Amino acid sequence: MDKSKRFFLKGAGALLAGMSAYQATRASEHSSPASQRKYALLHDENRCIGCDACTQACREVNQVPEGVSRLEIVRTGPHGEYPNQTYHFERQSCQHCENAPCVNVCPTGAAYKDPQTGIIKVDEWKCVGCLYCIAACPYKVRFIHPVTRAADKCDFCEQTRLSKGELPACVTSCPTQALVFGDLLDTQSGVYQLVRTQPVSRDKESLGTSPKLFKIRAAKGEVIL
Amino acid sequence: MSRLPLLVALVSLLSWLPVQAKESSSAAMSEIHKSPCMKCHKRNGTMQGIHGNSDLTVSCVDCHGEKQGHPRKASDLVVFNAATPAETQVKPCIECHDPQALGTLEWTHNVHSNKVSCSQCHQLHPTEDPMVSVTQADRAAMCQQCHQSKQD
Repeated sequence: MDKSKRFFLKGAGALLAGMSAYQATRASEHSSPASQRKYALLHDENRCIGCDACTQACREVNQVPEGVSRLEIVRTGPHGEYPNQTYHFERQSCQHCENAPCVNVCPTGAAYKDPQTGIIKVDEWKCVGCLYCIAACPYKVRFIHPVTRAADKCDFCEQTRLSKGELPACVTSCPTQALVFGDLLDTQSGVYQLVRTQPVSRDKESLGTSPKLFKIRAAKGEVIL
Repeated sequence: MSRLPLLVALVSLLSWLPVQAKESSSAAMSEIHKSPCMKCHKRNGTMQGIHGNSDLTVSCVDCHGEKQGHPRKASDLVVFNAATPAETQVKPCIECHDPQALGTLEWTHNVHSNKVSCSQCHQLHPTEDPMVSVTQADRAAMCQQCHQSKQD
């Protein structure tokens, strides 16, 4: 009787010690593995001229068919009277939410957040086309790809360009450098510095989605270069 | 036997083509080319564009201004090139073309208004204005011609 009690206590103690040691090492691993990224994009509306070079580059690089789009520049205006009229350009694309509603509702796990990059991705072969994600996305940026028949959207050109060490197509095609892409975990990155120092905002923050598409709002709905 | 209608269509098409060519060359004979300006300015080329259509009764002076002392003495003739202020160049165009209507047709008209001259994009003298057949990619590239340099 005594023996088995001692044995049990010993065993339980060893197990607890082992578990806590495992937890501690796992936590330290999780907090800062060298390869971990948290990609984000910033759109400076004051610099954007609405030339649509980004939307065209996106369509070409990612082979997005006509009729659907991963990226759109929504133009509002004109504001003011001739000859001093202006327009406001707003980027509409996946916001790569930290707490993504599309991922939460996906019944098959086709929509997921890549833990290494923070990018919201779609596993085409897992997607059954139930449209839950399209209904759940508060930013209305998801669509069914007419060729693959799976849900599709911006992935920061993860497949087509990031994997080759290149910046997303929209960023490189922008003639006025209105788009800044980078890693929020890298304190030296341009996007980190801008988010820290500029008056940035994000769409529908109150929903608790924590989007990673930051915007510097146009001063007064006009283009200032 | 069934090929006969096709042959007839082809022959009629071929006979129609030279007529079209003759018509475009007859643009050189439109009213605008009887203007006294053409006595000297033939070497600058003829007015082939839609503005040269006799039915529009547009004359050289309507856009370029009155001759005044030209060529020996001073004149206020408008030359549509980079040396002339944009506002001066836009003025004769908006006499006929309503800025609001232009803006509805193509939003970029509104933002450039009288700050960029129409002639920076449009050409009236050739048969077809290059802007008529511009593609989406050309369009974005044209924006970059000016806007890229401004950022550097």
